[in-house]
Amino acid sequence: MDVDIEDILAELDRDTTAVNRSDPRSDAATDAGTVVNSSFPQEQALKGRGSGAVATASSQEDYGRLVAHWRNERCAPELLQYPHALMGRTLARIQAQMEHLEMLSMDFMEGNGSEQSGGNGSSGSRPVNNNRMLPLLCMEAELERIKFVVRSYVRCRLAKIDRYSLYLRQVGEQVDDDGFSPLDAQLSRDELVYFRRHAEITLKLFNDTILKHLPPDLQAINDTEGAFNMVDEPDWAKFVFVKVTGPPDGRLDADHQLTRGQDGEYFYQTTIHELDEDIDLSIGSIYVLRYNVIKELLADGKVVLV
Amino acid sequence: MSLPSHLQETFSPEEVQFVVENQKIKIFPRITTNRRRNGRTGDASGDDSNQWKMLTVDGSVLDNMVAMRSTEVALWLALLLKQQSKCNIIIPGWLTVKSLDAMLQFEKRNKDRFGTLPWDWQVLSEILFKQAADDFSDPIHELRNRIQDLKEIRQMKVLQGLKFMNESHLQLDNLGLMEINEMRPFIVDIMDKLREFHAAVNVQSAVDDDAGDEDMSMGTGIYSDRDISASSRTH
Repeated sequence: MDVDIEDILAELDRDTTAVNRSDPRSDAATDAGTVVNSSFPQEQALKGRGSGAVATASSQEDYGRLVAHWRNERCAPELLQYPHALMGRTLARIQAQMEHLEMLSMDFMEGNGSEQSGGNGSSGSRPVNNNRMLPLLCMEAELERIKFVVRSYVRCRLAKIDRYSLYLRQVGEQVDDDGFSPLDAQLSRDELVYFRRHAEITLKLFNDTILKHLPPDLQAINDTEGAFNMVDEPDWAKFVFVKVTGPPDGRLDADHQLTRGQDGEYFYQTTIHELDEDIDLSIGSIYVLRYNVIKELLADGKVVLV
Repeated sequence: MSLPSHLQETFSPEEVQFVVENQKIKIFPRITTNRRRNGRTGDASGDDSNQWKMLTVDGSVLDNMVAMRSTEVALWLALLLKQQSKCNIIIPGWLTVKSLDAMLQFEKRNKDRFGTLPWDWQVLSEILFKQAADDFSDPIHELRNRIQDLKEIRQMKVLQGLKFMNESHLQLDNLGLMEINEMRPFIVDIMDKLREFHAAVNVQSAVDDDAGDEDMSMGTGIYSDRDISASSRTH
């Protein structure tokens, strides 16, 4: 289920003192295979919501997924689905880590001040300080890295929203019976707000400067009747570099889309419709293909864009 | 634009380096962070700050480092520790004179395939030469020469392989990420254009086929009329 960012942040505001009270020793005991770093209260809140998707939400795996999403988004010609749950957890963790680091650095300032006023403690404290500052340094470097990935990911998506705003508008108009449009899944809530306002502003600009001076039957910005389609659709057949990784859980025999060749190798059979050509994609190889050929495999996570 | 145009086509080299720095590498730490469970509870309040609460890497590995016992950490972390003189980096096995020589032999012998170097070989070797120069057992200038030779041979192969570009697909196994990144804008552009040409040619020939069908179905009378009218127009 989608995790609500506001709820998480509200939880955060309520429980800020809980970060101090949490037992740091429990952190040292966790290894990469187990679930979430249990010292963060909002992770426990997530577990309490009963959302089964959090089962494998270790922060290392989430970071790996985030980087994979970032690379895919940069290389793909269309706007991919927004990973709501993943981004919710990631943003919550970043927020918590920033507060934790602030608290630690405040401790440092106080600790340094008291030692210097003590006098004889200062000579021994310098090498200890270096060792103490090392975790802080590394944590800050890591925070900068994860913030860079998030920022670059969001920038890439916003650039695509700008470019394809008319096309997204068309997609958004297909509202189904429950009142949900496919855009709710594809864009985050902030992106939706940005998209609506940006589309409104640019449409107003075009109207005021050009469109209202044109003859009435040419005034539609999304005119599809003439020789040219005015709506810029993403180029579905654009060539992309893909690497075939196979099913995400690694179980080759359980994957129905894989076929076994004569040498016992596994490959995916795909077709290029425009050329009536069949291609076999073997696992571990790198190909340059049209995007529409591998679109479903990408959504399943069986290939990655390189 | 939200994303600068030079980043829309491909990744910048710095971003490729970022991706490579997420990989793991083995190190010899020079400090011990492993605290004994007993006898430490009476320490000052700064003990909590020694806890490594990491987001993207496994914090418990860092919290249990013992000096001179090899552990595996992310490359960026290893470089940071190396900068602070807190560790020694263990050079990966393929970055030795012997194995690079073997790889060169393979590349020279097989002109149509790429050798199985790790996908991050170019970036990793450059980073390690610059920052971990004292951790190498082989002399660096020899390694640099071999890496340069490998770069040139593989680049030649890529350029020769460009003649296989077509509108359908290409298979290039074992290409490094840096090499892919360099070639990406060029290859994608060309293959897109080839695809458009191919589609245009097909549409044209489909139109011609249709026109030919119509002529044949209408019979000879109209065909000859057209001949007459065509010849009358030329007069």
